[in-house]
Amino acid sequence: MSETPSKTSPLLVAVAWVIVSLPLGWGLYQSVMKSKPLFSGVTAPAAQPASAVVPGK
Amino acid sequence: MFSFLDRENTVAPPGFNRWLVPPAAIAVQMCIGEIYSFSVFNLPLSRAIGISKSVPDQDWTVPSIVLWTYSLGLVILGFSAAVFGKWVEIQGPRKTMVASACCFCGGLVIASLGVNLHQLWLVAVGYGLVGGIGLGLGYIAPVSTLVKWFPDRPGMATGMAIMGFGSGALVGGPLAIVLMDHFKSATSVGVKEAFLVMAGLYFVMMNFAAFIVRVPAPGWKPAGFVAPVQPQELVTTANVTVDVAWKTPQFWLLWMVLCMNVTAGIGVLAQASPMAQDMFGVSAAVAGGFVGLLSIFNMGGRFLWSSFSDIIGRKGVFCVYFLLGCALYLTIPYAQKVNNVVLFVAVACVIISMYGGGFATTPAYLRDLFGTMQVGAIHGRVITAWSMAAVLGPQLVTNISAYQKAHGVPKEQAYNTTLYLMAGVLLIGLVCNLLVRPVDEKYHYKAAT
Repeated sequence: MSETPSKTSPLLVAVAWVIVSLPLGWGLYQSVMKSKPLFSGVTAPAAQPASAVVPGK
Repeated sequence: MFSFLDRENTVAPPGFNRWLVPPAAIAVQMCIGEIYSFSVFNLPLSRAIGISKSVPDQDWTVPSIVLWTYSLGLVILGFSAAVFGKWVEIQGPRKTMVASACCFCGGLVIASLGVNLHQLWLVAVGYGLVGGIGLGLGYIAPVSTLVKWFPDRPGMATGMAIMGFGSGALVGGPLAIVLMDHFKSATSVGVKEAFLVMAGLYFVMMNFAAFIVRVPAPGWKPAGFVAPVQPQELVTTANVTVDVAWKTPQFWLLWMVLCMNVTAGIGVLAQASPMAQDMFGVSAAVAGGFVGLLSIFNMGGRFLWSSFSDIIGRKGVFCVYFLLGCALYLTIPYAQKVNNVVLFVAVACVIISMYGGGFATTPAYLRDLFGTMQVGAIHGRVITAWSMAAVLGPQLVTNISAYQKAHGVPKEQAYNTTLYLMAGVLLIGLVCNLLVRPVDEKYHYKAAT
């Protein structure tokens, strides 16, 4: 008796990955946008020593 | 009628592409991982009656909201995973994912009703209790399924699944904010409507995952995969049942390993924003950006560190977490002393990546020690360590720093004692990890002949 292997459609696999990647990508983009102030506005309360480097530079 | 949900009806046919399973696992984890972003609801919920501002004695307080939603949800997650783990293994991932969707999304609907009636107990029952059961079911089913599909790369497999949970905050937080902004009005803060829409979206996503998920046929192996002839010391080819596993020293050593790793990481994660503001004087907006960056590293670390464990072994990667983590915790007070914010941010990002990595590597470690047969159920019981750490870590950081401040320690240095303590916690984890040995053969499962 031989059983014919039922191949999974590559399209189905691609669609499944797109369905999870879209919200994931959107969430990642939102987090990157949220973290932008970190790279543009780091300030210390007192005078900063020379060793304090501003991120993003 | 619902026989299509049964495990035997989800066995993959020959030729099934196993790469269809990771999206299913990630989808479920991404939905339930929304709990990590629950803090976005705290302020609006505390103004549910006053709308523009909180009304004393009528509106809920933020601590009571956190306790009865976020904290209760995480505690029930642990109990649910421990209690239902065996059921999950018997019934299979599809039925479990559907049950998880019903509980998690049903919980959101009940919580929405609770907000509408302004009854905190109803919100607790919905989000904390019913939703928490859904969290536990949804957390372990995808992990144990993926481990069985990727015997050649178990670390990468668990990394993909657990990365999905980490991504839940990245998606759930912004989504909740968009929905609340859309629905808020003169009479509503928009939370109850946001809960309902999220329940609908997550229900569709989780059932899509349940629809495509499959379990491998008994004895299935990936094409070209040959089990190592020279077995690795800690990787067993035998199986241990969940009822026996928790009686072994290895189970409790791993429980401690996870608990110590999570306690140290979650303490920083929960206090990241005030820590950055107090220690380095950055603005609230910058501290918010720091938290966003940590979320990305928390997610990425789950996949990368766990995949790395396929190369250096589970014990080796946990040694890295504990030794490097200890050194990095001791670096933070130095970064504060020289006022180097960049060093602080870099150190915190690596620490949080290893915190996430610990979650993702644990199920692969369990699989190595106890086999795949009931790894989901065993994982479910180990997760109670997370519930314990979720309480322990933030409490340690918050209370010790508050005590220091109250006793005149400058706020920039108020976290130093806690950071030294966290380094010690990681050393305890290191000792437990070094004590892990292969499970004695007397515990191995022997099929009835």
